[in-house]
Amino acid sequence: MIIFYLTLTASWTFAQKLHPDSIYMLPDVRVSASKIVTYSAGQKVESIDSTLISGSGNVGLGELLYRNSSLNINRYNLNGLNLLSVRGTTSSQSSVYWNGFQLNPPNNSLIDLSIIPANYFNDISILYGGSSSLYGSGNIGAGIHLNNKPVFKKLQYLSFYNSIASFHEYSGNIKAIYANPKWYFKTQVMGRKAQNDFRYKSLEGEYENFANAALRQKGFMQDVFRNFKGRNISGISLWYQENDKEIPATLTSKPADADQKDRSLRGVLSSKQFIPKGFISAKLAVFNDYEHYIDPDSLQVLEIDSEIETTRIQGEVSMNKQISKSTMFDAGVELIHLTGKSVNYAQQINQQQAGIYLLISQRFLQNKWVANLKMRQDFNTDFTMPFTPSLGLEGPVINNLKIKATVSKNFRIPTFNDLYWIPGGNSELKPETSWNQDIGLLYKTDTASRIDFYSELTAFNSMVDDWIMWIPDGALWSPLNIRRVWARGIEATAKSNVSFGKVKAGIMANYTYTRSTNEKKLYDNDPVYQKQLIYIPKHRFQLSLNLVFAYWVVGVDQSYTGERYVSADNTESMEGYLLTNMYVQKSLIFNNDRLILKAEILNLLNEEYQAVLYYPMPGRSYSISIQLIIQ
Amino acid sequence: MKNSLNTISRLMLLAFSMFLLYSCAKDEDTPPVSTTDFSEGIFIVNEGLFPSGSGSVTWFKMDGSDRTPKLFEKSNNLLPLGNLAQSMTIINNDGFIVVNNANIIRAVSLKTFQQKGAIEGINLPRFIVNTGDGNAWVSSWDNKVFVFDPEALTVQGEVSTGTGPEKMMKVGEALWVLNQGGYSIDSTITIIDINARQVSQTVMVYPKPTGIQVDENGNVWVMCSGHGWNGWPASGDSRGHLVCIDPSDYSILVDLEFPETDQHPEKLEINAGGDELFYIYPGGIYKQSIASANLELAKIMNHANGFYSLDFDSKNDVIYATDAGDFQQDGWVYRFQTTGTLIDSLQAGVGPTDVCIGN
Repeated sequence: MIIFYLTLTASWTFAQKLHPDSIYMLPDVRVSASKIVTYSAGQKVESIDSTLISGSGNVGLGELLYRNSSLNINRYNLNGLNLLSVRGTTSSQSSVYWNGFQLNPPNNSLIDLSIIPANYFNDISILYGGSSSLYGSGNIGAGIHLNNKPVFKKLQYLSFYNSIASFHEYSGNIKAIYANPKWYFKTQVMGRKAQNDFRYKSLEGEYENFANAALRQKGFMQDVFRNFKGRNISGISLWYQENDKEIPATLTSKPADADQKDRSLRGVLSSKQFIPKGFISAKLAVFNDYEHYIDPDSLQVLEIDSEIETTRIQGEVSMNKQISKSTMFDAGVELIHLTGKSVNYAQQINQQQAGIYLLISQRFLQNKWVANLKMRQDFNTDFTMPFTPSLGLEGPVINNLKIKATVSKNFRIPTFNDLYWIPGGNSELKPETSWNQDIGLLYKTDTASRIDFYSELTAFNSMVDDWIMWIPDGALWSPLNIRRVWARGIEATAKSNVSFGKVKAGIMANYTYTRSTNEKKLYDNDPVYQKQLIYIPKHRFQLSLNLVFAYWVVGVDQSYTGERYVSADNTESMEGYLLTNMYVQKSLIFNNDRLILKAEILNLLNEEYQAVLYYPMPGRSYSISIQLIIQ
Repeated sequence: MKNSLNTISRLMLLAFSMFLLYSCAKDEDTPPVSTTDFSEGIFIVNEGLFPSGSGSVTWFKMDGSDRTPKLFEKSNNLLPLGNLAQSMTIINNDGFIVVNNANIIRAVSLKTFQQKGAIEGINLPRFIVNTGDGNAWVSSWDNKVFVFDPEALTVQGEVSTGTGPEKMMKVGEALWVLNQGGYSIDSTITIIDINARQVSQTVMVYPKPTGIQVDENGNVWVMCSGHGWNGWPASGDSRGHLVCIDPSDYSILVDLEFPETDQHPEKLEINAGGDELFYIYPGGIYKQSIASANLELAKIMNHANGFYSLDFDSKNDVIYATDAGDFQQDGWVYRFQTTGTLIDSLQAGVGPTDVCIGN
């Protein structure tokens, strides 16, 4: 039996180290599972600790990442839209991947992190900076990679989780795993219901209960994998998710009655055939997303009853092979078919894409240094796509100090809405392109030392050209390739684990400084020239601490988001806010089974704040949960 | 290793103290106490930051000096005006600001700009007309117009209209309501008997009526923009029409058709003399003499970006045109003589949409 929270300190998975579950025990250890692990040398990669993921209950990915990484996430209300904004870019310039396939729908490329339950996945990694050479369009800011990875060892696992939280939130999930050296089955079911009727202060200074903010979610995920004697691993992952979200009013608008219903059905079929010193991988993904937004109040005149359905069918074949002791390559082809249906498009949109890539990883200087050269060319039926090369380098300078550097070309294609929306869509748009550079220093103590310490300092720089923005001309809004944006900054991360007798302490701190400015004058005296983009804080700080002793865990985390401008000319801004959360957890062990009780206080200091202008957020709140694990 | 650890812990400490410093550095804005009498001046109504921001009113003295941005907030303990401020109308010594997406009409004293009260609950209100009989009317996207008492701030009644009623004008004892159609199409004017508070006539014109004026002869001119968007041709687009209607029998006296289906005229203002009409057409401001039998398409002012709205100061014979920019930064209001000569430009708030001239 694994003692659940004793693994906590040991598994502070430092960057690039994967959760033990996800490593296949293969004859050649160097042949690892994911493109990210093998070909990301030179870039910053952050893995979210697996115990944080498995202990997150039904919390959305946005909340988990906001509390446990340096990512900037713009949160509209509690359980409202959670949009990523990484390294000075907008949410559509970063992508979220599930088992290697992009989840961002082609209609608007926006992915709401609040409705993705974080604990569906056993591996969450963030690849900072540009990664178009690995994954194509939509990888200027960062890529978040969610994976379900099988384990082929004898395992029977059953977990029941239930929680009650403030504002009438009830949620539960069931997880069942059956695995042996040949098979891996994992079934997950989740449900969540919340009124989100927290008290807030209206602009007139009165306290009211937040209205029309309810959320209902249900989801199902199934993984089936077969291991054919270590020569082939094949499987299927299915994910069905249904969300019904009321869309609340802002502080400055009328009471709302709007509602959005989404459903997504996603499937990934994969097969990996191991060959001498390598593997051939074939994957097929079919994603279907449906969204229905209705606002009864505005129906008569504005006809706001909007349905959008998009489909992604994507096939991918690649070969990864080690050709010498120090050289490895991966070459692949992707074919993508995207469709979109909406009353706001003249007809059903069909778009075909293809991508070919070659990734080379070369070790040198006694195999201590790694360099990689990545090259990718995409093709699209609607526009010319850029060639996206990338060069990365990583190696030790002295003892435990490593240096990393990357330079890469990246891009993002316009969305269906950008191209075809009636009225205003602009079919003449070009893809946005960028050059990104990173340089970083990484320090890590030897694994044997009593104090585990890890820190990473990264400077990033990017220039995004042909940045797409919707601009009004009278009453008609149309997108144009109008801006050039220079985003740069510094990210600092430090993590440490220390033992004092029976007590183990883990600490993590992240700080990000971001400047992202408009570098193109549209006319003389353009007041927006060289001003910071809206909703991008210059400063963000995140800190977490936990203590583990005798089946108890106590944790505190704090995050600060600095001032953000809300007007493009930087004349209006919102003040920064500091959030503090605290939890206590107790595990009770019965033979092989365990019961985990957790109590949590969110926004402990009762900070009154808004993350997005005039969207109120709750003050102090509470949650308790119970999880039974049978093994 | 110990040394580098120390350096790193110092760096962390530095970062942490910096962070404390920032979190403590909140400052509270206090509104300045104003002694200015605002009633003689220019009120620019700004929609506000798109999409969730608050509207605002920017005030100027008539000579363009003494700018006060966010006048409503400053005069009312920092209370934001609300989402999507739409228009302002002066009735006696009060200003009535319509805040469209907040379902609120705020009544302020013109002198102090302090809120006296509000009418809430009219769904998506747009424009107000004072009928001078102790009542005022407001158009609403509920496809209705509401009559209210501007003193007591109580709604007295409602009358159903066509789709998307917007601009209105009192002509004789009738209220002419332009049914702009919202996102669909309407081509009608609802004529309401203001005493009986009933529809007396529905007049068919052309799609999307956006402006109405009465000329020196008492005839009613209506600008029909036509269906479709500028420079963005689509099926179902129609041409704009400027029509002149005899209010006694609703017959169309003049019908001037615009040449293009993807270039649409918008809004309508008239000079103090009542013989020259002004409107927005792609590329600038155009004029039309009421005596001319043909569409003149005479551009008096060039503006490549296009204007967002048009207003007229009939006391001084001055045209006001707003440039709302991208709704992410302050916009501008330009003042022109009726010949098209630029007088000056006034820095507005975000998304200037309506100009109201004080008493």
